[in-house]
Amino acid sequence: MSRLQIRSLGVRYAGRPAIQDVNWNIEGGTIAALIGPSGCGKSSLLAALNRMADLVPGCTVDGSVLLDGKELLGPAADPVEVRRRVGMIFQRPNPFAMSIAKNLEMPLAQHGVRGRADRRDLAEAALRNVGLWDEVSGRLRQSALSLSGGQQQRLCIARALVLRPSVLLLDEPCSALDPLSTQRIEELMTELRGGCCSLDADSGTPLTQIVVTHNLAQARRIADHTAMVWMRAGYGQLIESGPTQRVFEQPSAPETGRYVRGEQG
Amino acid sequence: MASSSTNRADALSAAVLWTIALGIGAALAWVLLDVVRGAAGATSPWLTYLSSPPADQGASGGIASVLVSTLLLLALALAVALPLGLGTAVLLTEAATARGDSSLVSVVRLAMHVLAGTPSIVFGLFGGVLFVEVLGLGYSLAAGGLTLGCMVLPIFVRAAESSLRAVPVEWRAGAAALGLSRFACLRRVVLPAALPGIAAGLVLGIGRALAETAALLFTAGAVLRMPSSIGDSGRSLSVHIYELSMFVPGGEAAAYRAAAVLVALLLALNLGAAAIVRIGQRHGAQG
Repeated sequence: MSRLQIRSLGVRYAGRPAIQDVNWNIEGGTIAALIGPSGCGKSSLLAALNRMADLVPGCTVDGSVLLDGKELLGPAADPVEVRRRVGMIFQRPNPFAMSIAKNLEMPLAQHGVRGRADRRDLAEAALRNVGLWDEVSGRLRQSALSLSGGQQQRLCIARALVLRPSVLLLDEPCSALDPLSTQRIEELMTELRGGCCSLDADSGTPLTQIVVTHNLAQARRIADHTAMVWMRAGYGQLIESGPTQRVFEQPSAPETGRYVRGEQG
Repeated sequence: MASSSTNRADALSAAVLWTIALGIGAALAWVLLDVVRGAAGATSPWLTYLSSPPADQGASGGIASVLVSTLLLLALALAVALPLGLGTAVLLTEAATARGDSSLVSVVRLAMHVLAGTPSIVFGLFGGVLFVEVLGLGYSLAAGGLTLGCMVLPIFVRAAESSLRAVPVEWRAGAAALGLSRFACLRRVVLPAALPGIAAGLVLGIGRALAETAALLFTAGAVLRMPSSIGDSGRSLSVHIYELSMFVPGGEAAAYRAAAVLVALLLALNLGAAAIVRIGQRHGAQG
């Protein structure tokens, strides 16, 4: 059984469909990329997976998302718990205006990690996981906003990992970063897929990552699986998905072929 | 040619801006100098002045009772305005971010804007009817403090709301994505980030309360005695200055001296608030 099973998922804003009829299986411990032109509903799809769509006024989600067979959508699932298990990284790094350490310790405290020393240890482990420890260990009490953009984004990844999620959603995580920082993030994502340090709290299996990207080369470099979203009939549809190499080299949908060759979109 | 005319325009606008800036600085300096010069003729030491009771209707003696009344009025006003104002500001921003601007929110916001611009004499009449007569508080510090609280409330709400709104939406999204409840997001992320603006709004409000005269004449009265409780009438500093300069023969020097104290208090208030904000930020970065 696939780790994440998306069935007939649709997202509407004030009744107007943004993306519909999404069926997609994602295996545990892999990186899946969502590609497609701007405005075709990729980010809406991503936001539906961890209930962030709930927070957008007028946004409704239907269909089903199963994580290890457990439904994430609907009233039976607690959005707070869903978001702990399915973390999210945004386009622009968004560390809070507090110290580097507190950015990691505050969410832990909110999720019931009582001991101060426990929080410190978990924060250190998360910073080591994202390769930030050596850079910031001497200034943990300084403002997180004093870090560079790339460091801020890695701090945000650490902040998500500290809660030991099963799935990490990344919404164009490198689009605001320079090439060198982008490379660091890509390396980090690849390491996390290896499961070296990202065993999730519930099942002990490696982290599953879903990344939205406009950078086709990036999808090709890091993604095991790629799904293509395209506007058809006025809303976004997932028109193709499969192993990255297959999608790029022998696409089954003509739009995918034109898009990955840079001819359209 | 084009560049030299651009340079001339730049130089001209710089000159205009500097003139305006210097003019504003000069106006402030003039006021301060006037107050200091007026107060400089005083004979008794400042500490004695601040700690002894007034004599000759305030023309001589000190201002101990006036200071006590002023502080009690401010404390009462804050006790009303701080919790109510913060609650209203949070409600306005949270309701707006949750469902878009509902009509209730816009009505409350409009009311706050109108109240913030309402002349203080209107608040005085209102307080004089509601607190003094209807609620039976009489001319008292309680009635005055509650009236001041009503005046401070809209100013404080506006400032607090705009600083709450200025908190980047990315932080709210980030907090939600970490599985923080709305309350936790508010308490841990939004309020700390908005604290400097909230403190600034509070100082603005206290400044208005400290400067208020008209509204207090109708509510707190102008009794010069030391108040024994908030049920007593009492005279605030600004009312004291007004009474001295209008009704007390030979009271002008004393009015200037009281004005110097008032200006010093306002100055200390602003510096104190700035320090609180600085400490708060440092604490936030360390804690």
